[in-house]
Amino acid sequence: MADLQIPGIELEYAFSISMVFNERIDFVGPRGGKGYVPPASGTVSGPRLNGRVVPYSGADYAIFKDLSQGIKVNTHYMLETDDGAWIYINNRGYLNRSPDPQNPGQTKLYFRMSPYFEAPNGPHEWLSRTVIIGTGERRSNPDRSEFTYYVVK
Amino acid sequence: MAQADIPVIELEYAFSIRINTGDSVFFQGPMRSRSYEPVAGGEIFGPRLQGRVVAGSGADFASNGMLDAHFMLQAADGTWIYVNQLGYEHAAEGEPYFRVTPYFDTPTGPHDWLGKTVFVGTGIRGVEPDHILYTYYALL
Repeated sequence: MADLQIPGIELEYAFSISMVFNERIDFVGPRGGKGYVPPASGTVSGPRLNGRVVPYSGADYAIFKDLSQGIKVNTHYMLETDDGAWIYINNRGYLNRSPDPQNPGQTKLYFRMSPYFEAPNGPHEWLSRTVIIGTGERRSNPDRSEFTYYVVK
Repeated sequence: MAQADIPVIELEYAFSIRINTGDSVFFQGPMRSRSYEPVAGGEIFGPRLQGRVVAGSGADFASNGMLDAHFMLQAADGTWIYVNQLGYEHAAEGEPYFRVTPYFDTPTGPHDWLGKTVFVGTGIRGVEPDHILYTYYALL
């Protein structure tokens, strides 16, 4: 029988990403539901990374069965750091719907994510070999998503 | 941004998987490296899932230092579960260790929460037989 001792896990806040959207496109085809949501703009801020989301550098190409119940997120786009580095991000995870504890009878959408990065050799290369997990929320006025990312140490 | 504004993140221990590993293959190609480490069986145990790792159902096909494993699990109630696990093995100094995120596809039913949940896992290698023991936490 395997060892039943459960090791701990340590997280450290890394950065937040806020993204604004102008377009939300979704359709259902023979292979299921597909979303296309490109970022119109965005900012990256926090202790480990600062910069911007490059507008229209990619999109979320989500899949879903019933859009009202949530989606499987799969984004591809580019970030540009304050020091001029370009970084590819593939943000994977889920947008789920669950009861809203603050508004009884209502539901709310929330993101659970694990992004993977490819960064050039240099000060940001740690992103290319670090597991990062995050949470996020949809907001309106303007239409945007706010993500909070933690490094898994 | 003040630290106080940062949403707290909550993890909960979900289950552990011991993956027995077969002989691995590694090569360097013109564009990228590729390794192949086959899944030779194993066991799933813990509060949220019990069952077995299906022997010969897949492997880790890591490339340029990034893990990309595909294999099947079978829960104790017979449910089949597909796993695609990404992450990194840190082996530069000391004992190697893993940090991973598994993604699951499951039939609609009692285990379908696996297909809507982000997990993070830690792993260590062991012997007799050669294996990796992963500990998975659900991101609540």
